Amino acid sequence: MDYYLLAQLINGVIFGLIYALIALGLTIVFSIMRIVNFSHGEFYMLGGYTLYALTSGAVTFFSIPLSMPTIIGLPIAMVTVAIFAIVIERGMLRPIYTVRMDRPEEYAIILTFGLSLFLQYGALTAVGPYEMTPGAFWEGSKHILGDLYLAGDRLFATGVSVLLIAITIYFIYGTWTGRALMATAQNRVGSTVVGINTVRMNMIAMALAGLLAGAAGAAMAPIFLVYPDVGQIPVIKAFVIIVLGGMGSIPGAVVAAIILGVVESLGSVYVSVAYRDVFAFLVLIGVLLFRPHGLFGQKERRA
Amino acid sequence: MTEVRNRKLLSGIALVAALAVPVSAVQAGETIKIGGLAPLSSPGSYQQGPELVLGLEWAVADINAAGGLLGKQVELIIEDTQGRPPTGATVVEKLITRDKVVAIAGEYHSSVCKAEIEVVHQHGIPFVIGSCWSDSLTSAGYDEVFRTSVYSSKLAENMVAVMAANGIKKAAGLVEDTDYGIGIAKNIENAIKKLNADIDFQYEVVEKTSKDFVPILLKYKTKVKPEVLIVAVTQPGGFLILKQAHEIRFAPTKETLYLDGTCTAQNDKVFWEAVKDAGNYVLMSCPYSPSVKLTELGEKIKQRYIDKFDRQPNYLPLQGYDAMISLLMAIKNAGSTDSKAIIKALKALKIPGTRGDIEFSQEDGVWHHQWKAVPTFIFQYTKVGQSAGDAAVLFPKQFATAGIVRPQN
Repeated sequence: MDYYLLAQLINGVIFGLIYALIALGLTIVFSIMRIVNFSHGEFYMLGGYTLYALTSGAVTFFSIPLSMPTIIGLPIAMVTVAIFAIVIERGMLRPIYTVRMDRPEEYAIILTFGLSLFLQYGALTAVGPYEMTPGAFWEGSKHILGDLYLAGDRLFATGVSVLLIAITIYFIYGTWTGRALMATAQNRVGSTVVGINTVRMNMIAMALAGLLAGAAGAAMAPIFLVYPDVGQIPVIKAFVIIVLGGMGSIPGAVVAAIILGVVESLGSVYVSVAYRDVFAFLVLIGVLLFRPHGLFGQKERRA
Repeated sequence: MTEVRNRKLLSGIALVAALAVPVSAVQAGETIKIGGLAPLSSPGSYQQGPELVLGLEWAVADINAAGGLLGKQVELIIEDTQGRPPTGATVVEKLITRDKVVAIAGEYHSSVCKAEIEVVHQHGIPFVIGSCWSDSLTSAGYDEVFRTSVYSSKLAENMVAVMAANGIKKAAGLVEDTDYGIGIAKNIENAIKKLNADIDFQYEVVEKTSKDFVPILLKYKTKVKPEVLIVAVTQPGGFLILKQAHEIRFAPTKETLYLDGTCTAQNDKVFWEAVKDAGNYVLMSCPYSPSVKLTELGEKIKQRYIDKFDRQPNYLPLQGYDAMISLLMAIKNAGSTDSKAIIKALKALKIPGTRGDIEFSQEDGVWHHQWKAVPTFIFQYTKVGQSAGDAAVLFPKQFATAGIVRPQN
């Protein structure tokens, strides 16, 4: 039996799930804070660098080389990026909600865009231009089907994606804090009236985005390397995914990511690999023609 | 208290300004300005740009240490071209019109070089290309454009010669969507015809910024089954392709060899750090061999690099040095900074470079103002973590230390 098509489909779904993890944080921040976070790709980059610093032995802490197991480095990298995201929210984004300003959305765009460049060039200066690979989470290649083998690390990253997507969905839809986040996404003023601290919700949204981006960056670092602009292309794909899925829709982001992964995988081999990154935009245009609010988007209510 | 501090600050600024103005005015009259080009930030190959700049800077430093040119010191103005053709054209325009440079050297991306040669041609300013390999740059036939680096068709012919000598009948390529990448693929096709080699070659163009190459690699593995995969994609894309080809057990394997056409593998410490054991048995096509003796100048530059970075240099500092030293020696020979005089001197130039005696061909086509004898090599790593200096040399014959080694899977 020819497993070729099935193998390509499986690879597409796996890559889609990896995309979903990157897009999830972006869509959460947009739905709660109404901010398009252009520095999300750099949160992803920081996750990768943090894992490398913690596990490679190249960095010393009080003269002791840090070479902890990657499985321990992963949650620490997630928390580190989450703390960084909180600092950004507290220090830079909070004035959008606490200070009267004429064009808060534009302020946020310029700020996050500037932060993205600052972090990229900061990494280039501080760490250097070369690619790095942290140690593996799961060594070797595993046989999947037919001629398809995939790295244990890619399968591990997929597992992390599925787990974190499930936890995030449970957190958003199944806990009081998650419901408060949804309420904030739907109506900030109404949420304040019923006693929800919306400023705190912003902080939780940013922390969650940091956790997810940090997890994505760290889990994928052994496969896709770490370098200063490593987050640039994934975040462009994440933007396409959140628009395709419906701005602010979490299930929409997951479904759109899987569609994108499969379309890219099949398009690469049945149309042309030269246009791989164009397929995302073709799918986006096609969907928006018929569903202007995206696959799961709503006019008023989001998240 | 604040007033006193402010007054002190103001007098300090005034003193610095008073000292700085006449000094800079004197310096402006005493230097010969040369432009240096390289990608130093994204989306350019910012991993390679600084290596090229090293060579440019060292050549200028050496000339200045020896007393400068025409009684003046040389001032190098480096511009970041970001791997973008419009940026390249803009910074060259700026170097010529605002900084008043007398000549330019450097650049890494062929597509950026292509935009830059139009600007230098328009202004009549000499430009020695540092490391852009596309044939189209010299075959444009511009009087101002010279090249000390290797060129695509020469590399392609070497690759085809090695494949033919090893009985390889089927090859597949993945090349980046740039003048360089597509140029390499076309030149391999031409070389197969020219050398009358019995090789079936097909290639696909990939976006060098892509992350996942598994679909196309799986297609090659399942449907095409080539004996060698030739990759002409600069890092990090090239590194990702290698990691993923190894991941799906396609190449390098007993059935399929892997040939890095960009020579990114030569930066050994960076290469092994990025690709780990995926890099074993990789073949690479390069314009410099660490294991073959260089010229006296080349050995000096190589040692300077090792002393500074504690690793073997790749080809880029040497190519950068050769481009800049050619330009500076042409100015010296011309005895003038006039563009036409420099171009005339470049045409007549014959100097020892880092990798041989540099002189520019006066023939037409790709050899127009090209250093024809620029050396090229094909190597193979045969151990994980191997130094580029210990890699087996497969080509050219007179330097070959071994034949191709295949993994035993």
